[in-house]
Parts: sequence; structure tokens; C-alpha cells
Amino acid sequence: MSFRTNYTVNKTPRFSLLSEDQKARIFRGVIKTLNDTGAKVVHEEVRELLAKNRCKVDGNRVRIPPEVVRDALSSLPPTTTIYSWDGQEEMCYVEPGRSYFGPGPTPPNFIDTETMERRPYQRKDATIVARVCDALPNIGYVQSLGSIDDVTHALSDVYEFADMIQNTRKVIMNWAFNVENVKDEHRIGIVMAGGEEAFKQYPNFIHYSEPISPLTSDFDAIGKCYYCAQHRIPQVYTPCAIGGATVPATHAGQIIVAMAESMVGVVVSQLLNPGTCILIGGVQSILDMRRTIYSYGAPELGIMSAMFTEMLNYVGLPMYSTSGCTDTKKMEMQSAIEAAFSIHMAMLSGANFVHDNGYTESGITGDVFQTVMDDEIIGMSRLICGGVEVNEETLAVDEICNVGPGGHYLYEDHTMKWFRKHWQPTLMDRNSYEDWDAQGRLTMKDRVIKKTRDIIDNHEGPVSRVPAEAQKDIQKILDAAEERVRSK
Amino acid sequence: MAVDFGKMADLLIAGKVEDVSNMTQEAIDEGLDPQEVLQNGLIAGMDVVGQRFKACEMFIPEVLRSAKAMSAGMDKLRPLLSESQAKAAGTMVIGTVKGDLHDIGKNLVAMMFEGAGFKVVNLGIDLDTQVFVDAVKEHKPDLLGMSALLTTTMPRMGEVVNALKEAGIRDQVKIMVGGAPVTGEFAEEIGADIYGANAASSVDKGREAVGK
Amino acid sequence: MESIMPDMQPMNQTVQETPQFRVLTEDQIEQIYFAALDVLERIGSRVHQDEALELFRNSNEAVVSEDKRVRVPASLVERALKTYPRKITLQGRNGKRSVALQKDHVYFGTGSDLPFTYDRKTGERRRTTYKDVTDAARIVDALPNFDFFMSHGIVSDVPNPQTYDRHQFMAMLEGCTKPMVVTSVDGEGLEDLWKMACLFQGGEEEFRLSPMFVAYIEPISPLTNDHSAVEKLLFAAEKGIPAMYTPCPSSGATAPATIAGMLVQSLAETLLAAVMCYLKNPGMPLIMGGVTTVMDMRTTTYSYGAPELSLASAANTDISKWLNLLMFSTGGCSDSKWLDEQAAIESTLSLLTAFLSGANLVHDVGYIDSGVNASLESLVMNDEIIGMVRQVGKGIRTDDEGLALKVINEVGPGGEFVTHDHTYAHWRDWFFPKLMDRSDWETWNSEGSKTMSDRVNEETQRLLDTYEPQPIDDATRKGLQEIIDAAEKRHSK
Ligand code: B12
Repeated sequence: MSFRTNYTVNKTPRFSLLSEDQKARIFRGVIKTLNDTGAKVVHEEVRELLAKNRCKVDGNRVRIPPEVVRDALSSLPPTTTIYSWDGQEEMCYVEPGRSYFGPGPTPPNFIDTETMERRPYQRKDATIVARVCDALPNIGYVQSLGSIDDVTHALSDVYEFADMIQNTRKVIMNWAFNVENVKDEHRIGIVMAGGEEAFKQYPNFIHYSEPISPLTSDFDAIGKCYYCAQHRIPQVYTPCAIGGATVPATHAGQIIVAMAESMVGVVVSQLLNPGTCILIGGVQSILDMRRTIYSYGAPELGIMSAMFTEMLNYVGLPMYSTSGCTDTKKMEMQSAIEAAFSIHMAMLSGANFVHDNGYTESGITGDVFQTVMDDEIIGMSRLICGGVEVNEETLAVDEICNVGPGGHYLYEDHTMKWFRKHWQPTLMDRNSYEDWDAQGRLTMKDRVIKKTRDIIDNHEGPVSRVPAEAQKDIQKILDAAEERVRSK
Repeated sequence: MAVDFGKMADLLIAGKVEDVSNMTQEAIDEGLDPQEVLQNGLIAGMDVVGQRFKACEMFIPEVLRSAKAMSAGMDKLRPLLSESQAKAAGTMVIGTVKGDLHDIGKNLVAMMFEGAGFKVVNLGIDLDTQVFVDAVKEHKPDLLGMSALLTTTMPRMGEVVNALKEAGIRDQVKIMVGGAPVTGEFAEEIGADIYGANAASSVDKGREAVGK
Repeated sequence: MESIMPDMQPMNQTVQETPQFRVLTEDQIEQIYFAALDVLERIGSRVHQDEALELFRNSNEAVVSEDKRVRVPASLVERALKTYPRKITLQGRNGKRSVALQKDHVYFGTGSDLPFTYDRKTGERRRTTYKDVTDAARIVDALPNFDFFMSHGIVSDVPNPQTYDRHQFMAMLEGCTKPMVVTSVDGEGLEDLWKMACLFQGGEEEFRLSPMFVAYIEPISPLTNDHSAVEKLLFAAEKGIPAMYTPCPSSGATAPATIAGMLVQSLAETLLAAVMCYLKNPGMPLIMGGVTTVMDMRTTTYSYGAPELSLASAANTDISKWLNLLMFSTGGCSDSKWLDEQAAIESTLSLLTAFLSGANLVHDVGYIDSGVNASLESLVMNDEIIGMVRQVGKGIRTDDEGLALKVINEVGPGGEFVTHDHTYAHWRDWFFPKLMDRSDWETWNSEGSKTMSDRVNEETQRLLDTYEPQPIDDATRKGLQEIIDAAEKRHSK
């Protein structure tokens, strides 16, 4: 039944920091910077590729003209699907309007899940993080929250991936020291997918690498980008720009630099393999001018990330954003505030992959308890960003008139049908004071710890379903890598 | 055809008000002992509802639906129960005190007690002390519930307790109080018997206090 | 470094000075509005007050039934809606017109009347006192991100519940010079508070131009208007006192379980008040409101931390702007019993959402335990959060100075910006944390490994120990006392 015409709805709330004119201005800034200032590219093969394709190369400085940027942008894939390790399930769509939240890569330390002490990240932690993330409903993809200290250091990236991919069906975003190690990881992905062809069809990981601000692509970073593009491995090429230190102190200036340096990766990937998936974005925050740390809790992080997301939407690139992280040393009130702030900003802006949920101490320590707390925040933020459904049924005029002044809705069929759409907390306490008191006056932190440990004790993850054959093959890859490192 | 108490309980758990009512009638028509219908059908079902609620498998609207089914069944049974049996199911009078218009919390408590088989007389809100006294005289309830959500109206509950004493009927009822600013200590101070922090725990405490 | 050549200035540019945020389209808002009008025509709202019923009857348009239900045609509602002011500027007792309520200006403040407080010495929960209210008032006066004050706690150590509001207002005035939102027992109570405020503002007329407070008044959802609420509203209308009529529905219990349905019902309640005030005194300063949230279906708690509170409030604010009414909204509050991570999260999400929505007065900042417990520390914590939230409102600067292309080119690949003049000129635009720690591990340990709770606690104590608000002069104080004494006398029987 429709009496209506000319009707639009906000399916979800609309949020934006920039007008069309502002976006155009910033984008022209990126184009001008790439064309006039250019970027340093410390990789001969890549420079040759760029020189062959209309870029101006002068020493290791590469200037990229607007038309090259435009061509790269126009060959990006509108959507890419990433799969569970066995290719059975579609896990992520890299496309506008989809947001996946996950932890981040590589802090040196970890909060021990038993002792709660800060200590170097160990191999077993990778499995813990994978399993915990596997169990959390609002975590969409997985990173390790550390770099393993108790294996051959040069291979900690490979070990991490080898363990994690067997312990969660969610998509893993891995990282690597160099191209050799990416190759190992690629092999592991292929083993898990069931062969090279299967991996091409059903990629099961995303690779993460970083240019350096300002405007520098070092040998390993751009080398990895090159390799991933060649093999059509979905990848992230994103800097950690430090406002007032490695980029300008004004947000627009910062995003121009960050976008320009990342664009090198975009151009290289599309020249090599048009249509291969690449995301940019990264950590966008400021240098705290009193304590000289790179702030993971500053509101500027949320603001600039949201702004960057908008810019990338404008040019058709997917955004790899940041949230759920903190400058404080442990999970506590401050980390709750900073995480809630950045998660909500990322969600409002519609960033696609949002990392660092579970970073404490400004990225120095990984804390899976924080990830568990972030999971709850993400759920709340998702509800708010889910908007209000307005139609005849939800408007409930008949119900309002039936209940009438002074009545109540607890017996209504309408209530029975709809109340389950209310968000259900798993960590937020809504007990009466007496019940809370009687149950031992638990604070949120107590409940987070309990929930995390419950998951660690009880959620096995998919590891038992990994074929024995694949496990053996992965071990072979690790052994070969050890051999390679030893022989160097 | 024998009445299947298991099915009756299931219907009650599923909140099928009419079905439970009809099935109770069938059981009556078949000449079953009303006390047995109550125990093995209705109360058995409500016990499961209570457990599921505590396990977070059922939520308030569902519990209330079941409670309504329970009370629909009770309406059929009550006239047939012997006086002592009917009395055994329990009666409650409840209301919000003078000057206080908060309604929904008290209504929730009332509905949950209905679900526990009580006959509940809901007096409303903003009630003079005398209304409580008269209601206790008239209905001779096992429980008198009073609700106050304001610091300023809370003392009214003490006034009611005193008025009941003066009327010489204080000992006829157990007095329950509740509402946001009310505490166990306050309940004790004014000489009430039970403090209820929320609807679910109030029913447990209330039943225990009057042995129902 | 701004470009000085006029021909380098771009033309036809729009910039977003602040972020843009909307939950509903105009079409959706209209749908909700028409549904609310439908409710008022079909079932109406019950009014337990004779003068108001008389006003409705005399309108010759509203229909008053035997059961005191008032039904109102759309035409009357629409006429009433045209009369309300789009701007109200509040002036504190410090003489500053610091709260300029107008479209998309956002101000933050406390809530009122919390029965309990955690004692700062014993850590135990106890009833809130006069001194607690004065302390909260001082803290709010001192904190830069609070713009207005509601009592936070209720003064439970006063002689008579019928006159508690005068004492409470006095406690508020003692500690705080900022504009306020006040609760009152009834019409007579509101009149006394208004007289007290007029002593500061310089009389009734001055109060109308620069009111010190807004009167907080509520209907009872669903669709009921009790005697004292209406009495207050009509008194406010008569005297031109700004008033809000703010429904507190709980979705699933006293309102439909859908957010849209809850908004329809709340709007119907608001529109009825709009008509009532219009009939009494067209154009009185009425403010729309709403604490629109869910009842938790496990615990029966009226949830102050639910994400639905944020979403529904933001949608409600969209509606208020479309109606050209000012908006009283909610944020910075929590269901947590303790000032912990939960309180931090719920406060942050609701404050950020409320700010983005552009609600004019965001209240209940600092509530814990679902509006039952007071916490001075929570006020201090929230002050920091509001600071962060306001940072979002600064928007992104995209002039030449903001784009910094010349600077980028100058520094070039591999360079640094720390020593550049451009950084020197702009880093102060960033948020300055007061309570957020950004030290490194070593420093943090050497400084005592403090958590944010520790710092919040210390800051609260520091403010309590040191902050003195501008005092009330003796003459005014005497006048205030007279009003209070007179009230006590009237009510002592
Ligand atoms: C919704 C609400 C209202 C609505 C009520 C609508 C309605 N239909 O009931 C309206 C808007 C009308 C309202 C009005 C006012 N309110 Co009011 N209100 C609330 C609020 C936000 C939620 C109450 C609620 O519905 N909770 C959900 C229900 C399901 O829970 P509940 O009522 O607590 O009941 C449960 C238990 O307490 C217990 N229980 C309750 N009663 C009983 C009785 C027995 C016998 C037992 C065993 C158990 C029991 O079981 C219930 C179910 O689990 C509370 C804050 C809060 N969290 O309590 C303030 C609150 C109670 N209100 C408050 C105030 C100040 C007022 C006003 C004075 C405001 C004003 N100045 O205009 C007016 C007073 C009007 C009046 N004369 O009564 C204050 C009280 C402060 C104080 N120290 O006294 C509170 C605490 C909020 C605050 N901090 O300001 N309010």
C-alpha cells in the first residue's frame, strides 16, 4: 500500500566534515604535491616502472603527473571480496559503506592474559588474539597486536601469520619485514586456500605495509606493495603520519601529505595489475608537544581519520582507518574514553577497515582486554550509526492510540516483535544497585577480564578443522624460512 | 481425553494467553482438581519462565505475556478453589504513594506478582494514606506493596505503616516497599517488612515472606 | 602566509565550518510529525488541570472529553508552532549572557535531583545533602566545559519536602554563577524560584530579556499531563519564563518499542504543550525536550547508557530543528554504578552524538546509576570528554594556510615539520588534555603509575579545596532568605 511519492530516507545517519569544495581543494593539493614536490621512491625497479609510465624521475625523486593519478584511480576495483581461509565463506567486502573493525599490528609488548603484566609479545599470544577475535561479534578482521619476541626475530611476521590463520576464520591482515617474508606468507595463504588458483579466486588475507612520512617509499615497503600487486594480493599501503613532526600541523596539510605518499602505492599497484585491491589511510594523529609521544588517544586522530575517509570516498578509494586505541598504559577510564571517541568517529565516517582496536600505550603495548572492551563499544556505535527506521509499522500510531493516555506497552504484540531489536549489552551493567552490590560490585574492568578469560578458556576457534596436510605444509614453509635466514 | 499438563505449561511459557485460558477451562470441564491444574500446569510453567528469565533466555515482555496467561488461567480456577486454596495463592494490594506519579515500575511489580498467581489489586498512583488503609481492610491482602520514586514522597510510606498500626491491622499484612531512592535500611526504618529492588527479586522475596 | 594576491582567491566556495550530522531526512521528519498530529486528533492527551482544560475548551477548536482527554486539530497545532522564539539567551547570576540558545549552538550541563551520592571520605553510598549540591555547583562553576547547571543532587536534609526546591535553588546559587535549569515542586515553588532569580536579574522585565534559568517540566508518558506539571507550565507561560516540557518515555514500556514510535508519541506530548502554552500566552519561550531511551528488558532499568538514547535523542533534535524549536537533550550519563570504563564509554558516545546533532542544552552530564547516583568525579571526567568532543566542532581549515602546500614543498620528502614556523603557528589549535595521560612508560611509572581515576579524584579534590565562586552580596542574600522563610511559613502546619 503506498500513498506516497518523492520520499527519501536516511537509511543511516549522515555525517561529514568537508564540503564538496573543500574536498576538491584538498584533492587538488594532493595532485599538486605529487606533480610539483613528488615523492622519494627508494626502489629502482619501481622507479623504472614509473618512468616508463609518464612519471618524471630525478634521482630517487619521482614526480607523478595528474593524468597518471587519474588513470590509477579509475582502474581501482569498485568492490573486492575476501574469504575465510578455506574460501568457503565470504568474510569482507572492500567497498563503500562496509566497516570492519580489528586489532592492529606489531607492538613490542603485550599484556599477559593471565598475569596482566606488560611483557614482550610471545608466539602464543598470536593464537590467543586470533581466538579471542574469532569469538567477538563486532570484530570483523584480525591483526596480531604484537611482534613475536620468542622466535627467530627475522621471521616473527611469518610465524605470527602461520599461527593466526589457523585460529580464526576471520580475514587476517598480515605484515612482513621484506618481500621474502611476504612470499612465505603468500605460500601459507595458498596452502590454506587449497592451491594457487584457489587463492587467486578466494584471497584469504590482506597484506599491510607502510610508506614513510613525509613522502617516502622505502625499498621494503614499496617492494612488498609491488609483490602484492603482481600477485593480486589485496593490500593496505598506509603511513603513520605525525602531525607537527612528519607532516604539517594543520589537518588539511597532514592529509595532503599522507594521501600523496600513499598514492605512490596506488599508482604502482594499478600500473602493474589494474583492478588489484589496495586501501590507504593509516594512523593520522599528532605529536603531543608536552610528552613528545605519537598520540593514539587524541581527538585529532578521530577527526583526521574521519576526514581522510571522506577524501577517499571522494576519489573512490577504500579507507584503512584507526580506532579503539589509547595513550594510557592499561585498559582503564582513559582508554575507554579515547576508544569510544575514535570508534564512534570511524563508524560515523564509514571507514572500511579500522585497525588498532586493542592498542595501549600509544601503540607500544597490545592489550586484548582492550579489544574485548572495544568490541562492546563497536556494537553500541553500530547501533547509533544504524539510524532510525521510519515506516507505518515503526511509527506505531495505532498502537499509541490503542494504549492511550496512561497505559503501557508491555503487553503489546508490537513490543514483543520489536524489543529484541534493542541493543543487548554483554559488558555494560544495567542491574539495580542492590543486585550489583550483591553480585560483588564488579566494575567494567572486572567484567572485561572475566569475559576475555572465558573466551580464552572456552572458545577453541577453527584450529581443529585445519587439514593435517595443510598444517604439515605450513610447518615446511616455516622450516624452509628458518633455513634461509640461517644461511644468510 | 486427558489434559496434558506439559503442553499447558509449554503454552504458558510461549505466552499463549487464550490457549492457556481455554485449556484451563477444558481441565475444569473434565473435572480435574483445580489445585492440581494450578500446580502441575500453570505454576510448573511459570517456574520454567522464572528460570529462563534468570538465564537471560527470556525477557520482560515475554515473561509478562506468560504472566498474563497464568493470570488468565487463574481467573478460571479461582472461583473453584476452596477458600483456603484461593487464599493460598495470595493477594496483593499495591500503589504509588501520595504526591508521586511514577507508575510503570509499580505496574511491573504488579504484573509479575499476577504471574506468580497472586490476585493483585492495583490501586494506582498519587494515593492518600487512607486509601491504603481502606484497601487493606477491604481486600485483606497477604502483601501490601508501596512504591515511591521521589526522595520527597518516600516518607509517605512510613505514614501508611503508622496508619495501619493505628487501625490495628499492621500485623495482618507483610509490607513491601520499593522505588529508586528506597533502600533496605529505609524500609527497616519505617517498619516495612521487605524491600524490593526490582520486579523479579521482589516476587521471590514476596513469595518467601508469605510462604506462597 | 595566507595568499595576498586577490586574484588567487577562489570564488564560489562553500566550506563546512563544522561537521554536518543528520539522522533523519526531511521526509522522515514529516512522517513522524504527521503521525504525531494524527495521534492528537485521534486519541489526544489527558490533562489533569482545570485552567488548562478551560483554555482548550475556549479555543473552540480543541475537543475536551469527559475523561479529560484533549484532542487537537492540526490547524491549531500549526498555528501554535509559528509563535515560538528561535532564540533565548540565558544570563547567569554573574551577569554574563553566556548561553545563547539558537540553532546549532550546543551547551552542556548537569542533570538534577539525584537521591544518592558516594561519600568521598567513606566511599559508601548515602543520601545527597545540601552541601553536596553546593559542591557540585562549585565544581560546575569551575569547569570550563560546563555551560549550565542543574542541581545534580537533591537536598534531602531540608525541613519540608514541599519547599525543598527553594533550598535546593539556594544551594545551587551559592556555588554556581552560570545559567541554570531548575526543577520545582509545583507552580508555587516555581514562582518562588523565579522571584529569587529576579533578585539577581533586576526584576521581572529584565528576567524576560535575560532569563537566568529554564524551568524543567515533564509530561507523563504516555500522553498524560498531571496537575502540577501543567500548573508550572502555565505559570511559566504567563510570566515569560523559559520552560521545557520534556517527555521521559522508555521504549517498550511507556512508549512503543520502535524508536520512530517513541518519537511520534513524544512529539504528540510536546505539541499538546505547545498548544496549551499558545492558548495561555502566545510566543512564550518554550523549549522542546526528551529523554528518549529504552527500558532494559532484563533488569527493567530506565537506561541512561543505551545507544538508543543517543540515536533517538539525535533524531529528536533533527525534528526540533525542523519545527524551529530549541532542543533540550541528554548525554554524558551512564547506567554504571561506579565511575568506571562503562561510565566513560556511555558518556563519550552520548556526548559526541548529542554534540554532533546540534541539540542546544545537553543535560544529565555526570549521572551514574541510571539517574540515581551523584558523582562529582563524573562531572570532572565529563568535562574532559566534552573538551574532546568540542574539538570535532572546530571543523577542518582548508584555506591556503590549512592546506600548507608551500610548506610541504619546502620541507620535501624525508624532511621534518617540528621546527617549521607553520607548526609553531598551529599546534595550539589542537586539544589540550588535562586529565588524559600521554606520557611514555618510564615517565608514567616514575610519576606514580596513576590511572585516570586517580587524576580525576585529585582534580575533584583540588577544585573542592580551592575553588570559590563569586559570592552573593548581603542584600541579595537577605532577599533570597526572605522568600525561603515565607515559603516555610506558608507550609508549616
Ligand atoms: C521515567 C521517570 C519519570 C516519568 C515517570 C513516567 C511514568 N509513567 O512512570 C516522569 C516524567 C513522569 C517523571 C516525573 C518526575 N520525576 Co522522575 N524519573 C523517571 C526515571 C527517569 C525512570 C523511572 C522509571 O520508569 N524506571 C523504570 C522502572 C521500571 O523502574 P522503577 O520505577 O525503579 O521500578 C522498579 C524498582 O524500583 C522496583 N519497585 C518500584 N516500585 C516498587 C514497589 C514495590 C512494592 C516493590 C517491591 C518494588 C518496586 O521494581 C520496579 C520494577 O523492576 C527516574 C530515574 C530512575 N532511574 O529511577 C526519574 C526520577 C525518579 N524522577 C525524579 C524526579 C525529580 C521527577 C520529578 C520531580 C521531576 C520534576 N521536577 O518535574 C517528577 C515528579 C513527578 C511526580 N510528582 O511524581 C528523580 C527523583 C529524585 C529524587 N531524589 O527524588 C529521578 C530519580 C531522576 C532524577 N535524578 O532526577 N519521572
